Amino acid sequence: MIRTAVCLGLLCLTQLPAGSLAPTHARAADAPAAAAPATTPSNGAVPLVAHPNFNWSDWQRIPVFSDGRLKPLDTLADETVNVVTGRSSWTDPDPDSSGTKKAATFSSSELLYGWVTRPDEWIDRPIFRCEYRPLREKLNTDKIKISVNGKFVALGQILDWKQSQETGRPVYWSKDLEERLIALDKAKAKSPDSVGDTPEDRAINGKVAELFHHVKAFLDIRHGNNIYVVPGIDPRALTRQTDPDERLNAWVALGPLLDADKWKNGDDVTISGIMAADRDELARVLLDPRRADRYPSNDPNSPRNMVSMLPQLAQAQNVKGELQTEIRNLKRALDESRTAYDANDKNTFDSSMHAFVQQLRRLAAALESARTQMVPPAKNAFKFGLDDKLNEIIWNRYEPLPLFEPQMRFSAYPPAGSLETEITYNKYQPFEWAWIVFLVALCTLVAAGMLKSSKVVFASGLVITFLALAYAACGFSLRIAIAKRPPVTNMYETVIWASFVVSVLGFWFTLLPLTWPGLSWAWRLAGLPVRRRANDASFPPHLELDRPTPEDQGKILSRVKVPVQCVASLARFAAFAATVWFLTRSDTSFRIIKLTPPIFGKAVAMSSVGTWLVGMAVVCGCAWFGSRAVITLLLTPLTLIPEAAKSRGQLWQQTFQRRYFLLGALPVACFGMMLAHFVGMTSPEIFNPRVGSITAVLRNNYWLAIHVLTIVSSYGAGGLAWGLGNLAMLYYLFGKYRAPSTAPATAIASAPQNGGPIFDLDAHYRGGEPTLAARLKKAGAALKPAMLPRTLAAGFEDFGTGDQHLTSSSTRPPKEVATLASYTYKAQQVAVLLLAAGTILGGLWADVSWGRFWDWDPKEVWALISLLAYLVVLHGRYAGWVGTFGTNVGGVLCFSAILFSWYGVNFVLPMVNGWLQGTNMPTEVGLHAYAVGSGGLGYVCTAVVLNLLLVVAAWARYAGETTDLLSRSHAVKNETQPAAASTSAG
Amino acid sequence: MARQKLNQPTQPLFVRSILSLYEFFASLKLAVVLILLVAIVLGSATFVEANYGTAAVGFLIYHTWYFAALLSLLALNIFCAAAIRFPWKRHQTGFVITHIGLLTLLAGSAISDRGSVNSQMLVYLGESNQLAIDMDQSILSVSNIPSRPQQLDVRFQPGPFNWSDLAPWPITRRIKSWFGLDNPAQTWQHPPQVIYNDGKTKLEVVDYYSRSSVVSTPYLGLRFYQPKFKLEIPVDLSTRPGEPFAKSPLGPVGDVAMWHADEPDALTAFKACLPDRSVEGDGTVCFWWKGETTCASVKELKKLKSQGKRFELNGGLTVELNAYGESVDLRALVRGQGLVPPGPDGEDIGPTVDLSLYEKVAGKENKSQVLRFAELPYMPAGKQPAGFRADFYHPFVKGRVEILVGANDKMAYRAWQQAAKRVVAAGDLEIGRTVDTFSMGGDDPTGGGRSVMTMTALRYVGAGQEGTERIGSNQLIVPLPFEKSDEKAERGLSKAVRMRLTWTESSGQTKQDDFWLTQNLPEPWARAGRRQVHRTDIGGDKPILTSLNVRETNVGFAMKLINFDLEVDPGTKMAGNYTSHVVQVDVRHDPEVERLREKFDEASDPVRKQSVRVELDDAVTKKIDTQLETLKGKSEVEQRKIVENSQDMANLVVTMNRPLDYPDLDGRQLRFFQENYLAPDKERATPLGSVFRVNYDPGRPVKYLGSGLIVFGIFLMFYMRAYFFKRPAGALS
Repeated sequence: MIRTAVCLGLLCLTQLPAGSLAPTHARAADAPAAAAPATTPSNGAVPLVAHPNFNWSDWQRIPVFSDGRLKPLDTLADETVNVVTGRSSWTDPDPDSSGTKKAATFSSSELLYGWVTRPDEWIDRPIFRCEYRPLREKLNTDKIKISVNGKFVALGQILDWKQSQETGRPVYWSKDLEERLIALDKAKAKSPDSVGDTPEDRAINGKVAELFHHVKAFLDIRHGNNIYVVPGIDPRALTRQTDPDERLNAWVALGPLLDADKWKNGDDVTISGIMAADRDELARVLLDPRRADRYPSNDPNSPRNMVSMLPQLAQAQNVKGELQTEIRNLKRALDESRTAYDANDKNTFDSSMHAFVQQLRRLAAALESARTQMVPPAKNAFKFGLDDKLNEIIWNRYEPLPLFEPQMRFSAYPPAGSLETEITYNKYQPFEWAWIVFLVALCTLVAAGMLKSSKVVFASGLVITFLALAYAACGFSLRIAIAKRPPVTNMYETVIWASFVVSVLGFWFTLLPLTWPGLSWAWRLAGLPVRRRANDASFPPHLELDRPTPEDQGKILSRVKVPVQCVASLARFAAFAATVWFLTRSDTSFRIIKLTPPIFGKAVAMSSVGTWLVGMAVVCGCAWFGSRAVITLLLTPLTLIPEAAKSRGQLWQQTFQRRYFLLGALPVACFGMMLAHFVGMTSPEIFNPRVGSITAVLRNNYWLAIHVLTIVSSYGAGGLAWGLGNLAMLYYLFGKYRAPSTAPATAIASAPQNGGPIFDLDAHYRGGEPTLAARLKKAGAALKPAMLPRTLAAGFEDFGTGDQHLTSSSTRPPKEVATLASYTYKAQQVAVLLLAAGTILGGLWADVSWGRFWDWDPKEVWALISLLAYLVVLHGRYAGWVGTFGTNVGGVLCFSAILFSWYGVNFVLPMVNGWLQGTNMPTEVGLHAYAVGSGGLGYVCTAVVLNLLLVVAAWARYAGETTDLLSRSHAVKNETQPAAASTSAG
Repeated sequence: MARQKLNQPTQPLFVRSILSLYEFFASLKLAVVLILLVAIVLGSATFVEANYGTAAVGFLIYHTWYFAALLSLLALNIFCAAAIRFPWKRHQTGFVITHIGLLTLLAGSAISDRGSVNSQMLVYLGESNQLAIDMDQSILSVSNIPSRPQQLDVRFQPGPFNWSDLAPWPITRRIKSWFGLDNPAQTWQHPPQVIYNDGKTKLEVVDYYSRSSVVSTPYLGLRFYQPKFKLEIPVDLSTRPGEPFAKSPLGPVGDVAMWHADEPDALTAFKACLPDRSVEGDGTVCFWWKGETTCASVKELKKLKSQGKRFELNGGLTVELNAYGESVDLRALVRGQGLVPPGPDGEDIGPTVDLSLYEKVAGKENKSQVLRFAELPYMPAGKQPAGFRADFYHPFVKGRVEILVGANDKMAYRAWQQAAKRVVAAGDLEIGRTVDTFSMGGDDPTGGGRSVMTMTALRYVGAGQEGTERIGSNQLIVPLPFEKSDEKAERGLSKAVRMRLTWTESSGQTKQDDFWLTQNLPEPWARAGRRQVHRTDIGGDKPILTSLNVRETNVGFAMKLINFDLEVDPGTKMAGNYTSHVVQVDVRHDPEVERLREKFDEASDPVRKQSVRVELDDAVTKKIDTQLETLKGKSEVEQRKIVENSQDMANLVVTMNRPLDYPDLDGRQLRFFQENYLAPDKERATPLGSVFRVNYDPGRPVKYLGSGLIVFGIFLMFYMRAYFFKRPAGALS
């Protein structure tokens, strides 16, 4: 909900900073005392030197609490800098001003360090990304000139900073900007880009809001105000049963710690509790009626709210001595590091930064022990040295808040080194590079196709693909380790996961000929050592020992088959029992049902017995076959290579022929990874690459893992069908259409069988390869405006006849399309299996979590619509309405349904109400509303339309060729197909 | 899956037509069409939901007969498609299982549709409850109908729209108009729904508000409109009981206030008593005396006072300033301490002037004291001469539109604008007329101009006025427009129906009673205090009692909330997990309860059954109360111990994603989900409340079975077709 955040930001600046600018003012006045060189901050004369060679790793590893999650400061810096500057680092756009003639590039960590330690130096530095020219023109005034072509603006170019600080309210250089901000603030219920009279106005207003989103992020973080570094001792944050709307940060930010001496003006209660000279002063300051102006009565810091917890907060006074020292040491340590930084002294900086981080840890430890002292005092345990009436009020309103262990544990300071995984993840950014890795794999495979089954190139393509998959898998495992949940909780994660699934499926299907013998042999080895007697149809079946058959000879372990099967079966029984036990008895969130039927309670309900029976059947079935699958996978490494090696090139050839799976899958995977990376970088409100926190109902939930993973994997399968379908469209458009077979018509008349090729392609294939130019020319002929209506009309005539009309046409579609259709069909089947299973699992989850099996929630409904769309194609194929072309088109079109359930439900549906009401604000729709977002619609629609245009173009060529409209017109010129023209039946 | 055609030309026509119908319903082409149709309907439904909300889409699409018919057709198609291929071959196993699974799933959903419970239970911390309610379902209860001994409870589910919003779609009206069937002058009315009719007594619902509010009269409905931002702000002014004025905020810019005056010249004085210059410094007092307005700034008055003079109005009235206060404590003023600034706990009533009036009547000087408050113009002024009015304007006062209602419901308004420091508009206000009020641009010194707001008076209902919309003395029911976001709890609170009871008296005369009912909620839901039961005296021994209630489910045992854990992610407002620690009190195995239960099961006559049921419920409640009594005043640990040793009580934990299963008295397996919680409300002094979803789904095992079969069937199709488990063939050759 970025837009709300934008509006709040505007509010904060326009209504003026009771809290945001005024305290800053106080600090700014004191800043020169600490830093002599920085006394002239307003003219940007401070030399701008970056220190990338300093050791920032200690700084980066500082644990901070942000968005309900512990993360290294590195992540926070990256997130904040991304919001402010639009990139994860910042380069001075105007190097001349710093006098070094060389552009200084600051990493996000260093930038954050600068913002915390010398915020005023950054007022006049252009750090806010603002590339929109009309807005830059508006920012230009007679007092401030900024170049219209630049990419950044400085805060000092927007506001008269000096004046603003003096008056305590923002003084804008540009009157126009101010008016816009007021207008935006008034129309809070509308999205910024729908405020204004003209489209131009609205566009500028949208950008104004964006700019102020950047500004707010900077204002919030400067001085270290929103960098929460140590656990706090605010009693309300350590207890349960308080209103979460009043719940404050359980940690203390760096800013208040550094400014601890000015606690009287500060917002942080922990600091007040520690720094106050005594209880009386604490009470006097916190209950000062003048504070009511700053904190309205609904603010947790309002005197009214403070009263009820004051005695408990006063407990901090018992332990304040040590804490005060630690806090002062902390400030000193940071100041020392800054002095070294300014002096460009690397060694001193490194050691003083290390000392600062150590000091932070010491302070955290001291605070942790102080937390345990925050037990609520008994009523009237002590008296505040104030008048009796106030004492009476305090103790009357006093609410003891018992400490709550889980909450304290959750917000405890982490041990050193616990955030290393995230540091590693940030350092390598696996998903930034994933698309390149996949692109390399794709290029190798395309090259293999061009080079006519060059074994070496193809094999290296497969190896590279495998490495790419392994690389992505590593990335996922890091991400899972950081977030501690499956990587499918926001759009970004689902996109990368689905891309991964597409490539895995493509790889699996391509390699199937090679892996199959080994897999099936492993499957048999993992089975029970018995089999049904030959020609036995009785029930129960007559069993016999599964001795090796003659064709099993020579396979690995074939001599010890029965013993291996016995061992495997024992293991399988054990795994089965353990799984059933785990899913029914273990006292974790993984327990699905109870092992005992619900007949021993105080009352028995038939329906629950029925539910139990079904549930047990499913659990037992899954455990029984699942354990065999696992054992098979464990045996596969043994069986895979010997079995594949036996084939002597034949399997290899089959694998090569199935390369279309990878050719269809890798572009999709690569595209998905690219999309995630680039959109995630430029507009995190659509694809947020951060690891965030999720709503309560999704946590710690077994169903989230299996339901969402299944559904998102089905998107992957749909994506594979889409990739293959589009590949087929390209073949239809640019491929080589062929002459008909001279073979008897019986082969053609036989009904299409489950996606198998309809024609014996190779028998039809004649003539040499046409050149690329010839193909493009052909495609161009099909797309001529004069031709299009005729071909499309002909295509409509054949609509719904499947492949029947091909029997009478003189031209056949390219040979690859039938293969691709059978692959598309296969991918669609996988999509159907996964969608059906995922949708049903969603129902089960809803039943378990909310008590509603099916609630017509839009996300559910669209998953069902996607399923139905694929079913239409699959059933239409049986009905003879959908042929080869239809299957391929179905692969492309059905993906639109998936796209809608994926993107549309979260990004389009919430906007519908806003569009119709004219507010353009998203509203909640259904249960999955926690994923509401907006943006990117234009791009998605364009992509869908372009994709449809490709289908129409392919259709035009296909219809033109197969109804002989195109081939006839070219028959005279085209000497390779004289027969085609003469045999055309029309 | 080719199969031979069933109907042969040799068969009789009847058999052939049956068979061809069978083939039609079993055809794959029908399946394709139906699947596509369902997909399209579902797709459009999500857009309807996006615009109108979840309750509306259920009402318009998902829970309608035509959607059920479409699904039934699909079910028939699935059934015939599977049946026509009988006897099934081995390779069809997957297909058959999948299709049976689909039928089972659809059947399960049909079973769930009837007889399921989907309610909420609210338990406050330290309290107990045994009732669950379903806000979406209303029950109309009528008792003492002459020809019917037992109470009548009718399920009434008219959906999320006010009936007046359900006018036929414009398209149907247009089609009608082509055939001359539509009368554009005729206003549409929802046809009444007959609840009960035995020939002598008839009860109908004639109107329904899904969203309504009960307001006190006098009531004035206004609409403000800001043309620049195209912002429409509806403002309802309704006088709360005990307050002589009505006030409502108008966005962030100011207030709208309405009050009443009976004096004959009150309206004239109100319109004329305006500052003649912009109000500066400590403000300006305006006097209206005998048709003439005179203004004096506080500065002037102070000066005169210091000189020992009085301010003179034409017509022999002189005024003296006793005191001026910029912020004044109300309590001190009431106690007679004068205009003193408020302390930390005091209530500030803003700038105030204290004036003395001296009127010469027949040579004698009458003195009266008048207090005027810049922020509270509606406060009575104290004893003052007839034909006199004083108003105090102060530059600190926020923007305000004031409306005065005089005799015969005539109205006048004036608009004070803080930025212009004057009253920018004043005049008569008539229903349906639009007038300019004040600028939104608080900082805009030019006043009016580009961003003036307009005000339109829509409706006025005076105190005590009669009408069908009256719902109590000085109370009025007002429909609210449909709003998408206003779903769930609030809607249940604001439902109302207009009933019409028609009966024939023994004299043969037919009489009618026409009244509104608002929906009642049981304890402990908010506003439980309001409970409306309408009495209609039809001349028999007992009056007919009518009420609109939510559907209640007595779960048969009590849940007492002992503790509630709320884990919050520090630094966010996001709740991590909720957990309720409850004590369950179940007395169904108590001998007395068991005896009454048997009695209830044996009773056959409905009246008797009802009375035994009441007796049973009373006994259960009493037993439960006795048990709960033992827990009173004990600490959490002691309570746990007592519960552990008790036969009828149990310590239970309900947390997110871990529901509690427990059967009710009828053996239905209820499921308690931790759904939500209500934050403690300091103003209303309610503690934290835990909200459980109480759920019973008789179709659950059937649906589970269907789901299992579908997935198993699809899996079998793959398995037996060997997509994964046999060597891939086909395209490889």
